[in-house]
Amino acid sequence: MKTTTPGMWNRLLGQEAAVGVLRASLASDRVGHAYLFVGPRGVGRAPAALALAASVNCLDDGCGTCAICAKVLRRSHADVHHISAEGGQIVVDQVRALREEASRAPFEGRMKVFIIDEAERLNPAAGNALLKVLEEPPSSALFILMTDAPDDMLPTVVSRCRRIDFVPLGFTEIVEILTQHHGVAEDRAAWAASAGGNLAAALRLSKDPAAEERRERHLSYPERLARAGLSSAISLAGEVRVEADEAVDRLKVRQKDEIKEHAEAYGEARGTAAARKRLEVRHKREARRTEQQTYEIVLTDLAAWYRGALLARHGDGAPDAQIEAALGDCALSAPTTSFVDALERIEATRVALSRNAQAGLALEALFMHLGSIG
Amino acid sequence: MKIRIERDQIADAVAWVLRSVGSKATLPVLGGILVEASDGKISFSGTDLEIAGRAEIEGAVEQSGRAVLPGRLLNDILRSLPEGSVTIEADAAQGKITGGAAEFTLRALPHEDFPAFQGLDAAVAGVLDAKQFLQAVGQVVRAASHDEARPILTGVLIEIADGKITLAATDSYRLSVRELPWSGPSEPIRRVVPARALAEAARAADAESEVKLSLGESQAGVEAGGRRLTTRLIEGEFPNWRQLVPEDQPNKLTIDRETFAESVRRVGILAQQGVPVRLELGEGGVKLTAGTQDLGDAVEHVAASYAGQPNLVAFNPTYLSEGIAAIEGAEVVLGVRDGLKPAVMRAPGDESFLYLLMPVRVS
Repeated sequence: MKTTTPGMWNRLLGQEAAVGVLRASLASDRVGHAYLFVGPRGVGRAPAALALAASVNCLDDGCGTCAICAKVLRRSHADVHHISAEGGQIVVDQVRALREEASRAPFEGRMKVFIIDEAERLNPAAGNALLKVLEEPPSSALFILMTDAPDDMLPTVVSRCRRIDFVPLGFTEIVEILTQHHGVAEDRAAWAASAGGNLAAALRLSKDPAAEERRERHLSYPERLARAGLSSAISLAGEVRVEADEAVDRLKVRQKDEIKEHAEAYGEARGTAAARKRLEVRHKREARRTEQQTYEIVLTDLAAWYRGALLARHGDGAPDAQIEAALGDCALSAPTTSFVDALERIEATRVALSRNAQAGLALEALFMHLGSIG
Repeated sequence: MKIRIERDQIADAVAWVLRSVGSKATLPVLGGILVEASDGKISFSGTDLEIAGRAEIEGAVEQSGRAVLPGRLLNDILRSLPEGSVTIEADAAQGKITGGAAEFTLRALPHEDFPAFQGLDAAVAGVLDAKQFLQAVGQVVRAASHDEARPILTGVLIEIADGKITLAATDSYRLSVRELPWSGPSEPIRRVVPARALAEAARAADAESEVKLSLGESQAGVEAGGRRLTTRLIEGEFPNWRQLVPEDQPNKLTIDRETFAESVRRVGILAQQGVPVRLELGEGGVKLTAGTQDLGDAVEHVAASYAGQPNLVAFNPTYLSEGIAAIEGAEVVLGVRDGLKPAVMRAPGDESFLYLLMPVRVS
C-alpha cells in the first residue's frame, strides 16, 4: 500500500477502520462487487462511497485532483450512478433501470458504480430485483448500499454485501476534524460540533455565517419563555415555523435554477415529463428534509441550553461561551428537576417530528410546556 | 471557439445528432450538444449514455475550441434561421449564434461534464456494404429478446472469424444468424451490441453505400457519410448458439415464401393467446391448422414439395411469420426432425442465413 493517502481518502476522518478495509481491498486488487456501508448519517459514508467510486476509476488510486476524480466528486461521472428513494421508497423500476445500466460496458470509466442511499427504503419488490442482480453481478459493476438501519433490509440482500461499519463521531472527534482539517477556529468548531450533532451538519454550520445568529436566537427561547410565560409559547412556535419556511425558500431558489437548467437542456422532448416528475419528487423530498433539519437544529440548541443550565447549576460551567451567555435568571433559579423534564420533552418532540407529527402543534405543545418552567 | 457554416449543413447535422440526445438521463449536460472545432473540422456530438451520435462537417474554423450548447434550443434556432451562413461563437459560459440579421445568445452547459466516450481508436474496424449490413441487421434483430431480466439476450452477438462476420440473436425461443464477408482484420473477436442500438445505427446508414463497423473493448461504432453512432456493448457470456443448430434435418419442406407467409397469417387469426399454428407435413405439401373449442378452427392446404417422413410440428405464429419474413428469395426450406426438436428455415442453397425456431409441444 502507498504510504501517502490519495486525495479522495484523506478527506475521510475518524473512520480509520472502514477506510483501512477499503484501501486494503483496493491495494490488493480485491474490491468486492457489493458493499453495505452501515452507520449514521453524516459520519462519512457518502464521501467514502465517492472515494471508492473514484478509486476504481481513477488512474492514480483516487488522487482527488484528476478530471475523473473531479467528475465523481461533482456527481457528473457517467459511470457513477446515485440512486435514492422516490417518494419514500426505492421502487422496482429504479432497480430495473439499474439492471440494464449494469449490463452495459462502462461509458467512460473502468467500472460502473451504483451508490444506493438509504438502502433500507428498497421496497420488497425492488429488494428482490436487486438481489437477482447481486446474485449474478455483471463484471465491472460495483454496488455500494448505504444504510443506518440494516435490520430493516432484506437479509438476503445484506448477506450478499460486504459490510463496512462507520462509527458515530463524538464531540471531541468532530472538533478535531473541523480544526485540523477544515481550518475552522477552535471556539467555532466546538460550537458547530455541539450544534450540529454529526460531522456533515457541523461542517455545514461552521461555514454558514448566519448559523451562529440563528443559534443565539434559539438559545434565547428558554429565558424568553420564563419571562413571558405561556403568552410567548405560540409566537415562538410561529418563529420556528418561519425559520423553517425561510430555509425551504432558500432551497427553492436553488431548485428553480435546477429546473430552469433542465428545461433549457431538454425542452419538451419525449420522455422529459417523466424526468421532470422525478426532479419534482426529489425537490419535495429535499424540502421536507430541509424543514426537518431546521427543527432538529432548534431542538438541539434548546436541549443544549437546558443541559448547560444543569451543568452550570452543578458548578461545572457551560459547554461553550454562546450557551454561557444565554443563561439568565431562569437558569439560575428554576428547579433543576424541571430541566431534566424539559430535556425529556424535547427528545419526545424530536421523535414525534421525525415520525411526521404536525410541526406547528408539536412545537406549540413543547413551548407551552417549557414556558411552565421557572 | 468560432465557426462559420452553411445553415443547411449545420441544421442537418444538429438535427441528426439530436436524435441521440435522450431525456432518460439524469445529468443536465446530456441535454446538450457538444460542438468541437479544430483544423477545419467541425463536429457535433450528443448522447443519452446508451447511444452516442457524432456528425462531422467541414466549415470555416476561425478559432478552435469546444462548447456544449442546449440541444433542442440549438436545433430550433438553426431551423428558424434564414438560408446562408451561420456563425457560432462560444466559450465555457455562453454561445452566440448569428444568421442573417438574427442573433441568439445561449447559456452554455459545463463542457467538462460532457461524458468522454472512450473512443474507438483501438477498435477492430472494417468496411461493409451498407445495403447488405442493413438487411443483415434487419434479419437478426427481430429474434433478440426484449426481456431485460436477461440483458445479454437483448443484444446481437457479432463474431469475426475466418474472413466472415456473423450476426446472431436469440430470445431462447428462436435464433437468427446471418453471415457476411468481412474484409477487416481477421483476428477472432466476439462482441454483444444492444439490438435496439444496432438497428438504429444500421438505419442511420441507409442512404450511404458503405458503412464502417468498429468493434472496441466496450463500444461499437457504425459510421457512414461523416456520421457515426456509437453504442455501449453488453457485458456477459452470449449463449453458444452453434450447439443449438442441428447438423442435418431429415425432413425438408420447400415452399413458396409468399404463399407460406400469407397462409400462416390467415390461419394465425385463430391462433391467439398462446395457441400455436400446427403444420402437418406430408407428401404434396403442408396442412396448416389452428383453433380452439371456444373460437373455432382454421384449415388451409398449401401445395409444396416435401421430402421425408410425415410429421406434425406446431409453432408460435408470430415467430413463424417473422422467420418467413426474414428469408430472402422466392422459396423457403423448412427443415424439421420431429415435433420437439428445433426446426430450421433457410433460403434454398443459401448458407448465409438461418432462422431456428423451437416448436410448441402439442399432443
